[in-house]
Amino acid sequence: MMRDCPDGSMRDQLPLWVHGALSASDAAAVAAHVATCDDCAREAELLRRVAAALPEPAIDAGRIAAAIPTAREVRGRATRRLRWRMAAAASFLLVASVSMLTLRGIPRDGESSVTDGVLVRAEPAMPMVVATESVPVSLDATAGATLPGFSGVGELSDAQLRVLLADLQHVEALPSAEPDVEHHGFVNDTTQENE
Amino acid sequence: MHRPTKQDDAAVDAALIERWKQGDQRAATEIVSRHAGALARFAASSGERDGIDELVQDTFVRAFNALDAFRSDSSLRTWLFTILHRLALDRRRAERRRGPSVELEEGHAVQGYDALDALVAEETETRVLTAVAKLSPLQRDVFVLRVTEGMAYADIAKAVGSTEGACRVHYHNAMRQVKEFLDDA
Repeated sequence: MMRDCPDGSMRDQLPLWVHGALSASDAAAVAAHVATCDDCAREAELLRRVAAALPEPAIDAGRIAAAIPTAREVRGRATRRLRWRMAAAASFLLVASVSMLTLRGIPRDGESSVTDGVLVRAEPAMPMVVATESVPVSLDATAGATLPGFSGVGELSDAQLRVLLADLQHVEALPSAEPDVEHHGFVNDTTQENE
Repeated sequence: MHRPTKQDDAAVDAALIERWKQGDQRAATEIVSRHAGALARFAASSGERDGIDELVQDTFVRAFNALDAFRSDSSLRTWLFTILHRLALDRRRAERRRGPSVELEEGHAVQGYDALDALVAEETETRVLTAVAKLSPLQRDVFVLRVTEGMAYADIAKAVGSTEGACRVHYHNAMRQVKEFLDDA
């Protein structure tokens, strides 16, 4: 029957000694103890048997190595992830800002607010004014759109929404940031220059 | 013969990591060669039977994708053991959700190693394997890392997500159980 050596710290060192993971001085101390302790000698032998018996399955190291990404790929992925997160954060901030402005920009009776630099004051029985940077759009009385206490688009009737949409179609879109080169003859000019 | 110390190993691994970061993909191959065998043995000893190749590969791929997060307060091998241990746990949880439990409880573990009976020539070897297989999963992980890798309790604790003191207790309980099993057999 295998017994335990009463020297717990020595038994603690045995696996490291068997594995060769101790410093030279510690290894010498354990070796000296094992030479005089039958319990530790048997335990050390058991540890060797365990280490030898535990299987080390054959694996295809070449295939594993081939699956490892290059440092450039890892850096590229990290950069893309960072960009995506920044874009998501910017989108969230934009939506949040627009929502806040929308909520604050809809005037109630007697309140005033500033939307895109245009002061809007809401009066009872006054047609609602939608202020934009370029073209103010109004719902006139013909659509029955006097809106006392109006607090959101959800309160508009179908007729009012139709008028609002029709007015919005007349709003000019913002000019494109990039000039149309063909329209301005830049392509031809460049061609002539090259010639 | 000079046996490499922990410091030697750490220096070699650090140099290989630096070479890989500079674009030398052969350094990655060398890192795999240095550690894949130990990882595979740990996976097999922990009760993994199928897909050890994939588990080891996933460990390396995940490690290389996160090498910037690797801090040298532990060795690269300890860090790889930590990743493999977590992946193995995730895999077992996923398999448990998919169907009947495949957690290696004592009975399952013994059955798992029963398959080795035909392969292992010596009866004593089989008895040792069976004794190890009868340990609880955490006891087995601690015991295997201590015995086959000669790891310090602090490193084992990092690898299996436990404490140094708990790992010491697990190791000694495991050793006592193995002895008792072999005495009874």
